[in-house]
Amino acid sequence: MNPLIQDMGIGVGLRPPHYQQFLTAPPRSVQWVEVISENFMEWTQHGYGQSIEMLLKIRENYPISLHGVSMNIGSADPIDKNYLQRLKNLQDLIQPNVVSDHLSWTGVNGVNMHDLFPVPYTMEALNHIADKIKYVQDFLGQHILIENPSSYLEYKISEMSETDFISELVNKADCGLLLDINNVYVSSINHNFDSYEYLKKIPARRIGQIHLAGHSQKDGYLIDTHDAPIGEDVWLLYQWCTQNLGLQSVMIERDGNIPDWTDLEIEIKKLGQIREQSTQTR
Amino acid sequence: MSKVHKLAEIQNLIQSSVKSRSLPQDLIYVVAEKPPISIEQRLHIYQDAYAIRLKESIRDDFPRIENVLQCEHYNYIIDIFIKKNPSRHANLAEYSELFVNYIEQNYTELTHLVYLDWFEILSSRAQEPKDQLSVTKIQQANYFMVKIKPSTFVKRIGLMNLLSYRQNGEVRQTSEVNVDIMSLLFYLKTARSIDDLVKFSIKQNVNFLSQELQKLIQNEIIYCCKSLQGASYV
Repeated sequence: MNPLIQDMGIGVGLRPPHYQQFLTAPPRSVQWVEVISENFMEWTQHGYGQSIEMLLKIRENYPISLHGVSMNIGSADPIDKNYLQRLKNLQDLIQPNVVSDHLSWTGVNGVNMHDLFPVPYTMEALNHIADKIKYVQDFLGQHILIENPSSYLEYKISEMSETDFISELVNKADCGLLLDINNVYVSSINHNFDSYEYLKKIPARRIGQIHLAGHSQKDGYLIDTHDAPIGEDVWLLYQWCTQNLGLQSVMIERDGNIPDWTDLEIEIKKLGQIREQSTQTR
Repeated sequence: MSKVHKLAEIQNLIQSSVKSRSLPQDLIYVVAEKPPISIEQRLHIYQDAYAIRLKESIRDDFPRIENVLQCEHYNYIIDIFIKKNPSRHANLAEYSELFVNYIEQNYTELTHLVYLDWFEILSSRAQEPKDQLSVTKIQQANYFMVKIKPSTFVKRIGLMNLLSYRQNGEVRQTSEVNVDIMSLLFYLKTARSIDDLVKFSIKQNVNFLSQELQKLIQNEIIYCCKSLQGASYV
């Protein structure tokens, strides 16, 4: 198995509006890109799409991270072996530096609700999910990263905090943590906890990658929409992370209201400045 | 049931609540009450997201169906479809294929429209064939075969003959394809040698070979590939 990955610098979630930019004039402001695995996996009935050729071209210039949304690792269902085989096929083709998915479930009884539901933080869930992660890692021959969730509900029956659950899980499954700082912030507002206290309790040495994104403000709560620039509070949390948890690969996710590349690069540059400042103050 | 402990039970309750936009009594024992947001509101966030996400995906993939139906009727069709056909796919684009089958089975008058939309997606998505021979290679080759391109899709719907293909990177579609050409395209779903095509032409009692084949190749509907067994001739 490959070791948990080291700092690869700044990356971006590569989305269709920016494909041409990366094919014709690969930007130097990012050192790696992340794509959504399911958008490139072969379809059961129709095989790979032509976008796989585009991804292979981009692969010539950038390391690639495969980030999934349908592994359904937190579901009571067993791992979908058809899904896992298709992910493995993509992994073999792309040779990603990182494979990641979410600490969440997307459905039970074979259904995919196409959403990331939170899991109850119980021992039963912990053992079950750890076993599933181990199975996935053995199958892929690669450590995976599991992303902390953003959520809109919590369970009465949880037996431990989210940070305790995550710490136990990554140790037990021997996987990495994908720390999504926007998710921490969104959940902290929705469930009324202190984001900084949360960050102090996460297993820093297991962090393989950091995600930053924007969110939407609703009536009394936040939604993790990825359709807006990164909020000031999230920037501050990231700054805190660089000063207290070290530097890890970091990237910006934007899935809605996607701006021109030049506009997105403004945020990427800001990210670079924060990383720079943290190395100067060390 | 006063308390629910098992992961599977909890997830079944939540999934059922999100799909049916209801609040089963048992969820009160599962979801934490954290004012000022009520349990109902918290579940609504997931319920709304589920309905919106699936509806928007279908709407984006099938604009022709939306264009011909009244908004209310369209929403009704999609609601019923989603209720009867929960996704079992890794991505929503693949899930859309179920909508094609659903329309074909329940709204025959819309079948050609749903296929035009679906074939547009498939034609634009398909990879270029890996075994395609260039014009020079065809001239140099001793043997080659002819086959429909992966980006070409054909279907007979009643009296309508649908053809969808990609030419110069753009999807083109027609519903008025000659019956003989349709038969030929169906025949070319498997790679065929020129010998095969001559036999097919005789059997079908049509004489389209040279001109029509050239046109189909020019329009990127079919292509020439290497003969694996050396079964054809130039």
